[in-house]
Amino acid sequence: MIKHSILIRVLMAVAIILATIPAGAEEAAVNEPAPLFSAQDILGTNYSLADLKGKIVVLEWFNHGCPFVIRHYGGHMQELQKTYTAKGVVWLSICSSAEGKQGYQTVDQAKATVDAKGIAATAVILDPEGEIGLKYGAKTTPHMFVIDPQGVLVYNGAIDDSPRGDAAAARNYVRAAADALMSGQPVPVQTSPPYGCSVKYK
Amino acid sequence: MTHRFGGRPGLALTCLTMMLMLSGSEAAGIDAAVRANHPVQAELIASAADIQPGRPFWIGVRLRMDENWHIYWMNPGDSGLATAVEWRLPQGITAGELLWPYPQRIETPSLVSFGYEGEAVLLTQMRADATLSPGDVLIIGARVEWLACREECLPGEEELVLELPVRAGSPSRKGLLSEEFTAARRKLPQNMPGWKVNARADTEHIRLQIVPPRGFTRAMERMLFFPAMRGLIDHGRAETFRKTDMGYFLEIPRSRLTRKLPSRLAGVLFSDSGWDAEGSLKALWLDAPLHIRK
Repeated sequence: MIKHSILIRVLMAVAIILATIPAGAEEAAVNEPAPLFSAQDILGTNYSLADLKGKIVVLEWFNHGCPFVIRHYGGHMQELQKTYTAKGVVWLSICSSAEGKQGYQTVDQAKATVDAKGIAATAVILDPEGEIGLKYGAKTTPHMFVIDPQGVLVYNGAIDDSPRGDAAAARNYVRAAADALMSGQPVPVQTSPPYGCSVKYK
Repeated sequence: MTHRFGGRPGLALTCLTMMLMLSGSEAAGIDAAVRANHPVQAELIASAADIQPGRPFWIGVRLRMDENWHIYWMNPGDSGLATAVEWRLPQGITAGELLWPYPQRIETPSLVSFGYEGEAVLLTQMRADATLSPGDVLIIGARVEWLACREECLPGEEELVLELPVRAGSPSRKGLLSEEFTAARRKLPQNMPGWKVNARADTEHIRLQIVPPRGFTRAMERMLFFPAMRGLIDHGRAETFRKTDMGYFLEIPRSRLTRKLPSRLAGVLFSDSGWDAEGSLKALWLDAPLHIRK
């Protein structure tokens, strides 16, 4: 009888575990220290977030074949990169497509993409294991993060408020966050649901 | 108001068009060839073969996806873009709300989207003015836009038309289509008055207490909640579902990216067990006050 009830309890526990949906990438929280990472870019330069204290850092999740990314690289993404890197912002474009999945590129292919698209980020980082992506909970391309000079995450979300690309009406959250940080103002919008293609994790 | 997908038709489609042009295809044949090669085929279907003045009828946007491809629900989930329908209607016809069949969870490593694989029929009830003239032929049109993804994504858009004559009397049914409409309507989430759902939220979770109607004795399998609002759930953390003394409990981790909660929680509660006595209605439409604990 006792044995029976233990068996039932075990079965119930198993049932609860089965009913629990497996967890994946947890969302990085704003107003907390941004998850640290260190990685080599496609030119071989090492970027460690801990070493970038004192600078505003923008992280952009990237996939060269995603229609949303293609739309943003119609010109305004490069413009944004040029504008803010000229003001001292470190802009890291990160690709977390796993090897064999859509959007994955070798270093040489990524270099060719940078040339073809005129990408003006500070650096392009390949993250095929998804380590950086999962630390931040990057969901889409593009998914944007802004880190303040103290290393605190101040923005996590979409690049703008226009998933369908009504550019005239779009409010760019990255621009708003960077401008606020530079003028010592509070970041007006700190989170928004990101939109785009899914990040192709392994 | 038109929603273009970034003002840029699918790149692959453009390339395909160019290839076909280079191979010397007739201009007239290209559109059909391009359409045939897109992973989604879209079509308008009607619940009857004709329209009666003053009598409502149903129009469906039927989307058929190639194997492994999906399109997105009204809330696409972690990624994607909601399918959009913009009606182009003649005088005397007005469209009701667009009704979405319940979605599927589309799971990719670390992420969850809400959408449709296989086939989806989005339904709308149309009102026909009593002043319509029998003998006229009306053109029902819709501009439909979608994002199709398997691993890669391809946007698609199409102007669909359907011609329907106006006739007096009772509607002529097309046997096959009325069956199809019955099937499509079964997939619409229903209001189920007997079920009571209490929705509460704190900073971390949304918690649903789900109480069956009196006399409902069947045990319910796992329930899934599909919120109407984008960015409400963090799929990176686990949901909990369990039986309670009163009924069922579903705990859903809140996304940190949506801080301001709506005053009502709307969406679809899905259970493969079904919500009616026979177990055939799989999706309940939930629209309940959301009690927020600070």
